[in-house]
Amino acid sequence: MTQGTEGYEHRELEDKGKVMEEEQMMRSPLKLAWVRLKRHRMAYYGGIVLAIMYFSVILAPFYAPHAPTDLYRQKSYHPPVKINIRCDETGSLTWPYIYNYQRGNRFMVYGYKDEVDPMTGEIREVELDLGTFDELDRTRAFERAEEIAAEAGVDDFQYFPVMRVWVEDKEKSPRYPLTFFTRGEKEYTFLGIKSDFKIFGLGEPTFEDPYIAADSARLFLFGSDQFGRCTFSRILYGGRVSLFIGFGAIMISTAIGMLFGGLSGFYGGWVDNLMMRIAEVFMAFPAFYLLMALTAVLPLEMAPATRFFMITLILALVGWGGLARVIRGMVLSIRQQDFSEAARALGASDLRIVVKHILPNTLTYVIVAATISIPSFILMEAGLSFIGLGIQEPQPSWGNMLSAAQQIRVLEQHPWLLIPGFFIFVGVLAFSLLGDGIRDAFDPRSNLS
Amino acid sequence: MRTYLLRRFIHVIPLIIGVSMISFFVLNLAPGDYVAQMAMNPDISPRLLAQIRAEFGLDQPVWVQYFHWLGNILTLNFGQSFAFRIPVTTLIGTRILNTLILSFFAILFSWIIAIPLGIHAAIFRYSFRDNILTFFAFFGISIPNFFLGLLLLYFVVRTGFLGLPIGGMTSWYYDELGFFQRMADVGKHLVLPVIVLGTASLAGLMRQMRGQMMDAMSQDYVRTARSKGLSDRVVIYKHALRNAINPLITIFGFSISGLLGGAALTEIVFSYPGLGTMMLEAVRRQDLHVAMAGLLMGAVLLIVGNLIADILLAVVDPRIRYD
Repeated sequence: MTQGTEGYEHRELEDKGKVMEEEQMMRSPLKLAWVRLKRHRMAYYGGIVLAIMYFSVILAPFYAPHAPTDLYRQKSYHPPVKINIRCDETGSLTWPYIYNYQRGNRFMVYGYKDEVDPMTGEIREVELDLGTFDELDRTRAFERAEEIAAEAGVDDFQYFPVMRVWVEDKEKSPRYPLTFFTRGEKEYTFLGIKSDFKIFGLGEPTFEDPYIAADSARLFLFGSDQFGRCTFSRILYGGRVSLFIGFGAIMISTAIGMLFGGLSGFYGGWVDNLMMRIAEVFMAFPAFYLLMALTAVLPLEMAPATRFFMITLILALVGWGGLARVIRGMVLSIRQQDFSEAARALGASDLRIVVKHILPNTLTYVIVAATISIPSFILMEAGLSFIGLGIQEPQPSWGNMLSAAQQIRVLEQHPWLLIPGFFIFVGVLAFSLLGDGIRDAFDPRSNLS
Repeated sequence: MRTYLLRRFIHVIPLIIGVSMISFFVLNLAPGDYVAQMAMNPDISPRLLAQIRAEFGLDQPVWVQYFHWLGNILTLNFGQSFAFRIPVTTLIGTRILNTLILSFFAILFSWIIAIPLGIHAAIFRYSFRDNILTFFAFFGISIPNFFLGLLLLYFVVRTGFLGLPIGGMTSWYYDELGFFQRMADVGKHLVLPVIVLGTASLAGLMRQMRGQMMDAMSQDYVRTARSKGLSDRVVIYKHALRNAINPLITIFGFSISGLLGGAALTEIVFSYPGLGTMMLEAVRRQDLHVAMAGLLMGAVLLIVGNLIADILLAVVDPRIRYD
């Protein structure tokens, strides 16, 4: 977490007087905070990024070319497709299109050259590493190796395949143009409505694909995983889990923390003592160890939705202690104030006094604390899913998609498996910036005005 | 001070009991047990299963098991690992040491870098350099530990950078090495995990240092020192820094908690044989006593860390007296 109450860019001192006037005209503190938040540039950008992310994952079916569980086993570990915008023959700009990919080889080329040693005058053969190229066809491979050797100006060369790779098939495959506002292959239901509308997809090929249907071109924008599932689509659907689990967990943990801390501070005495000891026990665990123990308890055959809910609950259970402690401290002082005495004199019940009169006074703090801790919940879920204890396959989440990258040999050859990690990073970064801004906006000492 | 320590120590006992109780019941919530996993193997007869169950005491009610376990703990007997059939204490000792080594170097790494950078950012606040540092701080806070680990692993595998190893704590030829070579070998294995684990706390710490330093530099005593004509150097390092660093010591205690949690994931990514990897293996296998010991030791490390921070604070800040 970051602290420090200093503000950001606020050099326009001459505007300050005017701004203060404006602010005094608005009465509600929430509105005031909003105005200040908008002035926090980084927070503003963070907010925009988050809005885009949430918007896209909610509307995932419209954006995702494939369903998250669609398997194309023939296309396992397919690299991100190259979207061509130039025509191959003429080199001029054209409507974006892709080729079908087929399995070819990566060839390594070595060149040999005779060199005269300047000291001894002896003739030596030197070996030069001329790099690699990917090619489908064996005869074409020879030609290309020859070309490379000729370019390097070597006397002799050698080339050999080193690994199987996916290669754009420019010879036999037709061109598949990208189309927008099109129809997908399969129907999906969104909010109970059946549809096959897609924002973008692949259009009709320029001629009939010679390969069987299972081998036809796929729009794998971010590549595919071991089972040939579209990483891009899975990131969109997985984002639903990753982005909403933080929200859910913070709601529950805040509710528990407020109620627990509120009651503890309100009653004081031995009740307070006991309740705080319980909170301390939960805070004494290293959070991630407790998470591991709790999630390992969940049976694997649990329905995905139930599991999602249980993990949200577990995250909340681990995180409420700190908040409860602070709320309790605040309540201890608030309950002495006149308005809570007045509520009691009017005969309000204890729970009513706590929930209706005391807790609202802690709300500013709670809002700030909640926004600041959302990122840590997102990180915890991602970590849990990464080690296989969180969201289970085949349901995607950004964390469990990364676990495919855990075997270093797989990762070495298929680096696109890391892409979900960037999304976790960007999401958490945006939340951190926004949280920082919200904290400054609610902080009367900060000089954001 | 002594009475304070004694009071804190007494306070810890119910805490540990509470932790152990919750751990035990949580771990027993799982459907089936370690023996149930063995039952998948058709070669093991039901009679043998019942025998093993009785041997581990798994046939008794949970609370009986708990008190049995608690009784053993008082004699420092953490029970047996179901999977390895060796006492948990032998298993866990080296694991705790390994995690402590990793955390120690991660703390060292982050403090050595964060404090000067934080001071620097505070002195040059709102400048281009400060903005760059702020950006990196947010980068460090936001990047998931395990993701950074994977990125570094990928980088090392592709480039063979410095010949760094990609996992574990020792090389396979470790046993044949001399003492100093062994140190070097472990050190090499530590580089990546320490960077990964250190980065997150580094960023937070740097921001803290910057904030505290800026607070201190706007204080009256700093202005007084400046008006006395003292050099910038003296003002910053003798007057401002000494006051700014105190709150960081409290944060030190919290950072231990964060490190332990984060260490688990980092250890798993780098298959580093620490407490976190052991814990994961144990919960997966339902190796009850090992998982219990892991949770308990994690909590103990956390409590001790906070205690150390409190004591350090009393040592450096003459205004704080625990009487």
